[in-house]
Amino acid sequence: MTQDSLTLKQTFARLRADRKRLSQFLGSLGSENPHRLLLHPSFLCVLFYRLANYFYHRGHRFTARFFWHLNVIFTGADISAPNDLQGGLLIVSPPGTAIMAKAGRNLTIMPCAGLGSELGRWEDIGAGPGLPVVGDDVTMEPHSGILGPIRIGNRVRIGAGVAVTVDVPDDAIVEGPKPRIIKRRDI
Amino acid sequence: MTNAVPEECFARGHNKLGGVWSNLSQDVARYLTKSPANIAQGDNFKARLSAFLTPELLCLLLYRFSHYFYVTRWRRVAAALARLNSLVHRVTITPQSCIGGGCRLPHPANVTFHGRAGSGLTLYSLAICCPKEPVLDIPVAMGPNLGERVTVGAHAVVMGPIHLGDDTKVAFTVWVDHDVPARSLVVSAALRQTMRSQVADAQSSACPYATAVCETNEETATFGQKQE
Repeated sequence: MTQDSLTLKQTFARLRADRKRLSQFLGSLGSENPHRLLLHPSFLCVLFYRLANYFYHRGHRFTARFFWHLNVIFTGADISAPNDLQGGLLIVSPPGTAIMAKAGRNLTIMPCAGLGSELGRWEDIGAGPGLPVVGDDVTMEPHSGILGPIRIGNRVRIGAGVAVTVDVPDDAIVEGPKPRIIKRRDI
Repeated sequence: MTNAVPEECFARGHNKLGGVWSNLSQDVARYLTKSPANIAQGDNFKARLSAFLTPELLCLLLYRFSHYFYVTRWRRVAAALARLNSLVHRVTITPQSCIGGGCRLPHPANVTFHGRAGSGLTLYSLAICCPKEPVLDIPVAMGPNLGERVTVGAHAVVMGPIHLGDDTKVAFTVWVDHDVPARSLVVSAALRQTMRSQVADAQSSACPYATAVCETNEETATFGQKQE
C-alpha cells in the first residue's frame, strides 16, 4: 500500500486495525468498556490523524490541516498529516506526543514519546527530509525519542528516556543506564 | 484482575464528599506553604481563593471529583471529568488513580499518572507514573504504588507495578522500574557523576542533592550495586 494511492477504504482498514488493537489491549487487561472507544482519547487522536492523512493525500490540504489542528486542540497529540503510519497505531496518552515519521504496523507510543527530525541532518531515507523510518511492532516507552534520518528495525523496544539517533537492527532493545539509589540523609 | 476500587480509597474517604473536600483543603494548604513568599502572604480567604484558581489546583479539583465519581460507581461521569482535565489542562490522571491529600503539580501540562500514591505527592513537569502495559484504562494495581511524601522530578518515569517507599525522591530524567526502599534518592548514573565533581570542586550546597551524595559517598557505591 503506497501513500499516493491511499483511498478511503484503505484509510478505514487502517482505522479498523487501530481500533482492534486498542480494544484487544483494553479487553485483555481488564478494562470495563473495551469496545466503547469513540470518545477514548487514544482512539480519537488516531481517528483525527487518519482523516488528516486521507485528506492530505487526496489534495485537500486545508481540510487536512483542519483535522491536524483539531487533534492538537482536543487531544494534545501533534501527528502531522503527511506521515505514513500503517494500521495498529496505539497512542497511550495523546498529550505531549509528537510524530513525524514513516512507520510500519503496530507502532506503540507511550506518554511523551516522539519521532521526528534532528537539527542539521536533512537526508531523505524515504520518510521525508531528516525523518526516521520505523519498522513493524516497534514500542516506544515514556520520554523516548527517535530522531533524525535513521532506520529502526522490526520488533524494537526503545526504553524510557532514551533518544535514538543511530540505526537500530531488528529485535533489539535500546535502554538507558540503570539509575542509582542513594540513601537520603537530609531528612 | 478486576477494576475493583483499592481499599485505601475508602480509608482516605474518597467515597465521600467530605473526604474530597478534606483532600482539596490539604492541597491548598500545601500550595500556600510552597515558598517563603506564599508563607508571608498568610493563610486567609483571599490567599486560598487565589491558590484555588491556579491551574495546579483546578486540575487537582477535576481529578478529585473524577475519582470520587469513580469510587461511587458513576464511571461515565468520572471518565468525562478526566477527559475534561486532559482537554483543559493537558493532564492525564486516570479516575482509577488514588492520590492522598497535599498533592502538588507545579507545572501540570503533560503529567501522566495511573497508580496509587500517599499524601504529600509532588509531580514535576512531564513526570510520568504509568503501568508497563500500553493502555491506561486498566486496573490501578498494574501501576506504581507510591508511599507518603514522594517526589517525582521533571521528565522522570516510574513504570510498572512497583513500590516506592516513603520520602523517596526520584530526580529529573530518571526512569525507575523496580522497587525503591523508603528514604531514598534515585538519580541517573551521569547525574551522580556530575554532582560528585561539583561537590569535590566547591563543596557547595547549591545543588539540593549535593549534601546527600557527599555524606554517603562510600555507602552509595555498595548500595547502588546491590540494587543492580
